[in-house]
Amino acid sequence: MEAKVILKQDLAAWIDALVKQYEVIAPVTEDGVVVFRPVSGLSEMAIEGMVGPAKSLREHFTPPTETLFDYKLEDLSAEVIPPENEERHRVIFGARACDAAALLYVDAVYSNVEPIDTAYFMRREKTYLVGLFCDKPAWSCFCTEVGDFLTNPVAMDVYLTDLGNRYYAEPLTPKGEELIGLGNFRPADENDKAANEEIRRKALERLPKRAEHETACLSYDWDHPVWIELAKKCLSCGACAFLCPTCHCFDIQEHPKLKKGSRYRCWDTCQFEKFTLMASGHNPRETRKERTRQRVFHKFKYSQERYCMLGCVGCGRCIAACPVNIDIRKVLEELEKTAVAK
Amino acid sequence: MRIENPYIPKLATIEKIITETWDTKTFRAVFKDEELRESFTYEPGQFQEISVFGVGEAPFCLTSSPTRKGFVEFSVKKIGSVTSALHEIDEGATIGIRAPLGNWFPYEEFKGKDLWFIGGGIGMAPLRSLLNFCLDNRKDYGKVNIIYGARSSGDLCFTYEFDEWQNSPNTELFLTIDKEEEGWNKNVGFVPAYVMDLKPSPKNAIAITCGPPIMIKFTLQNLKELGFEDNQIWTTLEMKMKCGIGKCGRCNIGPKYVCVDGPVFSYAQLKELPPEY
Repeated sequence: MEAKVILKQDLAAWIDALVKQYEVIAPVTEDGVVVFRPVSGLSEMAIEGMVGPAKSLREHFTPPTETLFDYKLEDLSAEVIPPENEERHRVIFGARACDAAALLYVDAVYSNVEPIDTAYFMRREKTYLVGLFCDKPAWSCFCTEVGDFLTNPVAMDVYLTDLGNRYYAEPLTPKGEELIGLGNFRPADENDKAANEEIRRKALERLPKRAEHETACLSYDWDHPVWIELAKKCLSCGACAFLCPTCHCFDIQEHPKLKKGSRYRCWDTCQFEKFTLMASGHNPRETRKERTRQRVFHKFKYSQERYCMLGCVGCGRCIAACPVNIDIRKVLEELEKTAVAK
Repeated sequence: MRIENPYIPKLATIEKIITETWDTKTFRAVFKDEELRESFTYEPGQFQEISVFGVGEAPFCLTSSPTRKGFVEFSVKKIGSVTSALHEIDEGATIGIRAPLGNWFPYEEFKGKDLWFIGGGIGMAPLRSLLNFCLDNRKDYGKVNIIYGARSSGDLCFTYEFDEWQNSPNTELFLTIDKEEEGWNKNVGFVPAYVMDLKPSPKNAIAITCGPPIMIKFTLQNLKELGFEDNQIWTTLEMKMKCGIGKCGRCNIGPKYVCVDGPVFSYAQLKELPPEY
């Protein structure tokens, strides 16, 4: 598909055209951090010189709490009322390549076995992604260590690169071409293409090089001393998991109000002690040693074994947010020293 | 295409409640939808998610055998919030059911073999489904042996079926309780020790065991000592499950999810997994 270019002065009109047809979710600054929220126009968006979004797109596909159904009780009988389906199609504007790649992983989890998760896939099908090339990687970013999706984007319909006074736009799907068709784009010329290449090259220079996690991770050591070190530091706060774009685990709870109520699911994490606590009192992952090991193994070993992909996109939010400075890159380095030696 | 929301349960009525022991009841439920009641089937070893509206949902094995149609049964030890709520309800109450879920015992592979059912306490519940299935297809299997133990005689479930079990052709029931009791004339001792006393032959045999983790652990050791191969030993790990459909991520052991890759595992399969169960 042919690459196009839009001048920044024409961007507002394009966003307006998108807003007319779709709900547009874009980066905005909220309490000093960048998060993705519905917007009504370019003026609300924090897209220019955008720093890494504090939260991923996760909440727009699997909300922190989501009603599974409502119910009504009458004497001995009960009625179950399914939630209304969301009908409106959405455009997520300015998505990062790591967050888009994470969606492919969550897709795998929610469709790996029948039945598929209908609420999630209805949202996925009705959402189109306009990605934005990440030319200012944060200190904690390591997407290039776990994949090449920064330069070969996945799960996007359009991929934009900021060229200063204009955006370079690659349509990646027919839907992406349709979205571009709503704006004042012109075909990209050789200068545009060269500028795009240059910006990508510079960003890649700032990022770590591709690591061989795929092979090393499969031979991780169950009894490695790093687990004991992690257990000493980790607070089990769950910030790493709740900010992670690939973490998908949830709990199911009930919200009863006399004769009616609802059942909902809410985010949960293997870092919480009660995640695996059973009614009998038996807990297979009772200590932080077992729980931190589970998180790293799940992302870098079990995910490969089950879904043939890493469960980490290198967004680095777990590193930036950890209150005790646990850095998953260093954990991997420790593990891989012995994994490679084996 | 309209795909059904997998989290929404089907409504069912509690038709019968059997008090098994001081802390365990068995519930028989029938689907309210007549068509579903007729068409519903499952395999021995599969499980169901039972809803008590206003309290929550929890997984229970299907205790009944699919050879006995028109209803499902599940046995519940009073231990948490959903189980306590179930112990409070009366016959005629409406519950929700999502079923059948998970894998099942490979009963086709068991054909022509001697079977050793080894259950401890409420662990007999998932075995009962396969046991009654085998007894209803009696000619397909060799000798059926049932070793069933509990803390005391009052903790044994399904006592009303003991006659049927031991009177079935080529079937033997071995009962044991942990401590001596007045009037008890069967074996006294823990299940794993009783297995060693009875010395089941591994020749053309399958052992199927379920019970408390500690019982399973020592039973597995003893079966190995008796010469059972890893693929001759089967168990069911009813643990940590929540959504029941491989999405919520609670029940993973290594790359496997108990709710979709299990709950039935051979010992050979279990040995491939990290020791987190």
